[in-house]
Amino acid sequence: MTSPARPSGPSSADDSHDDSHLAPPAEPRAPARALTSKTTIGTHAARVFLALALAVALLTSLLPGGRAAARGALLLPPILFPDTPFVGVPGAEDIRHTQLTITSATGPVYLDIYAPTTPPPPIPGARGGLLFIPGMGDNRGIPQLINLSESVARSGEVVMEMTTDALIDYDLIAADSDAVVQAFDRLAHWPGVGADRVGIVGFSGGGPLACLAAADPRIRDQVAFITMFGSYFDVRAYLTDIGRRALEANGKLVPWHPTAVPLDVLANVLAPALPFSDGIRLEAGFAWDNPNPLTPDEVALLSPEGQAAYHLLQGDQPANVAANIATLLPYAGDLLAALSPSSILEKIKAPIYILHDHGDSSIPYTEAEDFAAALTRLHHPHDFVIFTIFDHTQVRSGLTLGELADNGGRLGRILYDILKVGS
Amino acid sequence: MSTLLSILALSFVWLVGGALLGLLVRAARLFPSRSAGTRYSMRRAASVGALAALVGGWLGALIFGRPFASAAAVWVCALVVELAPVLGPRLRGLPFVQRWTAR
Repeated sequence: MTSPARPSGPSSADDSHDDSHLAPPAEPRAPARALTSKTTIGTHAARVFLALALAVALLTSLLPGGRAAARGALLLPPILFPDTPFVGVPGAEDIRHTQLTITSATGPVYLDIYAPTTPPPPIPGARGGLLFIPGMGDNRGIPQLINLSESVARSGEVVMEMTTDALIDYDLIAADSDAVVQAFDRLAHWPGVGADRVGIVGFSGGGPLACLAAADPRIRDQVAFITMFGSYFDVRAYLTDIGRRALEANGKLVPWHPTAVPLDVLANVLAPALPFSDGIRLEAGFAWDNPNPLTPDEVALLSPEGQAAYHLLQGDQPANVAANIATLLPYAGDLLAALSPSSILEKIKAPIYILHDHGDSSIPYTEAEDFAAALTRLHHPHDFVIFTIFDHTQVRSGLTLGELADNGGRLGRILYDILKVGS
Repeated sequence: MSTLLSILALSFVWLVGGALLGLLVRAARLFPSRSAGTRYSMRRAASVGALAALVGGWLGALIFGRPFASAAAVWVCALVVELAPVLGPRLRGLPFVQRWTAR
């Protein structure tokens, strides 16, 4: 609206001249450019931030993959920093810990179940279940394992840890796969758990048992996935690496020294295939917590197959490994095959996720490589990840930011695959 | 007791987060409430945002589970703060709403 033009020339001397009908002069405008650009920048920044927040919120609540990614991201800190409890995360579920004992063909199966206290939500309608086989020894009181189980449960899944008398005694028997089957069945029928959303996670010696159970016709079609962390593929190949104290990488032999625990386990595994006194002597000689090493005279008293087993475990005849294995095979061949995932691979239907640390001194990483190569040849769905931050299956301390970022990304990928089933 | 504390903590997080998100939506000046006449004031955007996030969060907890309730709170809050200034007057014009408010 423009102001009417003022009369030009000197003002009238008549004081009664009334200018009230005239519009007031336009106020000088403030500089518009600076204010508009600040407002525009702020508005655009708000829009960008809002778009990002909305995209993340919609993806992580409405889509199964988004929910799995959100769960995996929330679980990374408790895994990489084992002393970090999940309970402080806003929205963590309240959980209940239940202990049960069920029976199997090999005796009692000890179960520890960590489950949310609330019913499953309508979306997705049922919870996922994870059966943990923690490996050799009684690991039920290990803080890292408890924290992991509790954290996964607080993210909305049901976790069941299982162990048996044999596993507690550092022994691996193929018949314990029935214990895994019984535990799996119990978890699949747990209130709130979807029967087709249950996977098995085997740590160390628990990995082969996971494979044996997943090949069992009773649950073969139900197992959603198998995850093997720090496990072997073929016991013969594993014994070969133990015997020569070296592993074959890129066509070359690289020195490798196993810790005491796998030697104890292998002595317990081989003992039933040997004469009774040989088995007892071998078990005592390689007990990881209180070894009673054999003297040369005692070694000389062992049977040929007993001596072969001793030299393989002792690693004192690296050039004679093939001959020692050949001596042992007629007595322990079936036993070793029964404990090897390599012998039942075609029977497994579930996807298999293989995780291993490159510096593992209990089971060499080449076992995981062999496993992955076999699955590739069979065109079996699988994923294979090598880490550098674990001491066998436990996170090392004093990690650098680069190591955490690199390994965290790989771990996140596997967590996504595992958790998508229950999301 | 710990369940009650976690409920209170979650509610507080959603109230505060919703208020901030309401201000963010208001600052973004998105369609359809781009015109000043239909857009909420900052104070109203914050309070509507807080309430919407609280309701959205607990609805999300019921539907998706508690771990994903915060995500639900975010998009419910954003939608309510953005659409309420436009839909509110239209809803008030509906016959049954007018009958209800006239009681």
